[in-house]
Amino acid sequence: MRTSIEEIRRAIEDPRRTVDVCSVLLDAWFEVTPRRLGEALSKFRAEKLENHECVEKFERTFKSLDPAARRRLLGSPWVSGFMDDPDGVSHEDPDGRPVSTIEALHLAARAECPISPNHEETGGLHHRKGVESPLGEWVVRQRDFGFEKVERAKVGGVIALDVDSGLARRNEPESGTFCNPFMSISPEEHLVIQEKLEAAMELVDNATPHLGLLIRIFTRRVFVRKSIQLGDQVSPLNLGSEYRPIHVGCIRILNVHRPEMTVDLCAEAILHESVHSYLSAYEEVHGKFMSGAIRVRPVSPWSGNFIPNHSLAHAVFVYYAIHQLLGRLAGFGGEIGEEAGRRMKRRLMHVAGGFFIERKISTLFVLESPASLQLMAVVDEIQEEIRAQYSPKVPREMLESVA
Amino acid sequence: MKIPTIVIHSDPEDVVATELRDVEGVSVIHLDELTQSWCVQEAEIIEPVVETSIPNMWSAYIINRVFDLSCTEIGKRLRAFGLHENWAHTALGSVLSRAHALAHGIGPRGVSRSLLPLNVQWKLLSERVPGIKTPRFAFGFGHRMPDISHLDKFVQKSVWSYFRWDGDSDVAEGEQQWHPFFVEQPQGIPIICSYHGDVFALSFPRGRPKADLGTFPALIHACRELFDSRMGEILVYQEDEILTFCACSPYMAGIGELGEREQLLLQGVPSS
Repeated sequence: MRTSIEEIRRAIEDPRRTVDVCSVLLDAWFEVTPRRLGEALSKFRAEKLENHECVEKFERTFKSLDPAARRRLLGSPWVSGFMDDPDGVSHEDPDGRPVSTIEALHLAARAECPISPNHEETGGLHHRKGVESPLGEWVVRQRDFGFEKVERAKVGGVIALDVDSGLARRNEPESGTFCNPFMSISPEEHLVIQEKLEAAMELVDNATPHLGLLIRIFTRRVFVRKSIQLGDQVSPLNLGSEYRPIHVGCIRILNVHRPEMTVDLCAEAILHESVHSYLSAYEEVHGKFMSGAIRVRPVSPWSGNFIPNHSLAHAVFVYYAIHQLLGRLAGFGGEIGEEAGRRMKRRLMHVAGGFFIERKISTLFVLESPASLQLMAVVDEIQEEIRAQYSPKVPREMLESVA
Repeated sequence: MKIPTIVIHSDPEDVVATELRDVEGVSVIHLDELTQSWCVQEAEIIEPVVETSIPNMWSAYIINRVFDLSCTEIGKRLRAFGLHENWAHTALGSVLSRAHALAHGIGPRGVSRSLLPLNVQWKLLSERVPGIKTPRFAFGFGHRMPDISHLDKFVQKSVWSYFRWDGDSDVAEGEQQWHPFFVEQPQGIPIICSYHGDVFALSFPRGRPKADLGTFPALIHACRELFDSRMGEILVYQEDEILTFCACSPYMAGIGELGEREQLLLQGVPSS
């Protein structure tokens, strides 16, 4: 079934629509993804003779999986990671050896096989490469007595907290979060991170339960990267977060162990990146919002930074959702504490400020070919809706272009 | 009859404000005068209280030259409260909403169409004006350097600097490595077209080519519309018969050199 871009907006704004829109979109995404994976595998197989064997091995394993296991695998970063770069490296194994994306995909499928990870053959494989469940909820670790299956902590009941997997350790020069070298997280810091993210999800659930649901549907794993120590100086760049569609359903947050990364900032980061994941799912099913070309880029009315057109389209929906969250939280008054309340009002005004520009946001895009009229209409509706909430104080007259 | 004109400027040394300060029928106000009674509070919308001493904006022509808030008092107050700059522009927009006409768009650079990055200007103008060339360029993303192998005789420039084409002297600290921008230097003879409304004057900083004056009205018309600027300076280079459009600037930085500057500034004021 088709989801319209208007419905994508409505699910953020109207709690009565969230479940329907999200589940229809997710079902459509699960219909499209196996087809796209099949196409990517066929293309990969046709490229080189030596690719035949690994594709066949993967397909044999995949066929042995039950429907639930297949769904877990399809919703994992191993599938999107392979499709993004079939000839590339996924991550490094515990011994620092590169694991290719096809190999990582096969290992993830093997992890879903109904045999014990301690089985001799699989155990050997685990020993060499390290194995974890496709969605990262558990990992097999080597102990003195053999192998042990370790459950990872979960946030909000369903989101795996991953601070140490191969993917969580990746170095990506072009990433805003994974460009920083990996630092290991102590058990004490892990506890702080877990409690903070849990409290952040509670904050979202209390203020905007429908957005808590949206987060849980489109985010399955949170990578937390530590890039600075407790005593290091902190800059805003150290408190960032990110979503990259190459690792579907996985959001990234920096330095949650630091006190500057407050619970409310974590809540904003989780929602921010989860809305990206939600929008990416829509784009996977219905096509990209617009080209990802970056030669000419508009300026973000929120940050003043040059961002790709495509990111600007995402930003409108992201800040629409965050405006909802912060608007409700700022209305909670004393319940969240005076300092947190002040911080959230400031952030709320910053987010709203991005919508208060003389131009319609749709006119900010600098595109080679016209964008979808429906998308542009929704972008402008969102801007108008936010502006209307402040209208008693701001005169509505818009100046006509006079030049 | 020309309508009352008010210049509002943010730069204390603004060239247009300086030129028109003592001219009859023109009021010149610095942004700090206009905004001194504005109510700026933490996490609140700015209330633009306008003192009775401020000239009436009703039906006036406003030459709004608020291009940068960073050195103004209102800018400092915004920063003190962590308020987004857009709120000050919104408040200014509401004050100016009764004007007959504005010279420029409202908003921070990159958002106001009067202050677009160079490569956006080039894209928009080349789509509008047939046959005009724009410089070839490469634009990096974040810290990533762009591929510059296709460029010949290029310089690193600031994407915000409209009129400086002499090497990397205009690249601000931080811009060297952040969204780095490389441009081929235009060939030919530079021509500056200063315009206000339909009135324009040409100047030739490096000798006079055989310029076809007939092409300029259409170029001015396109710049007025695309860059929301009733007043501006257009830099083009002419080589043989071909014009390369380099920039349209609202700053009027070269107006001081222009003999007929006062006539240009006054004749361009709309009539009632």
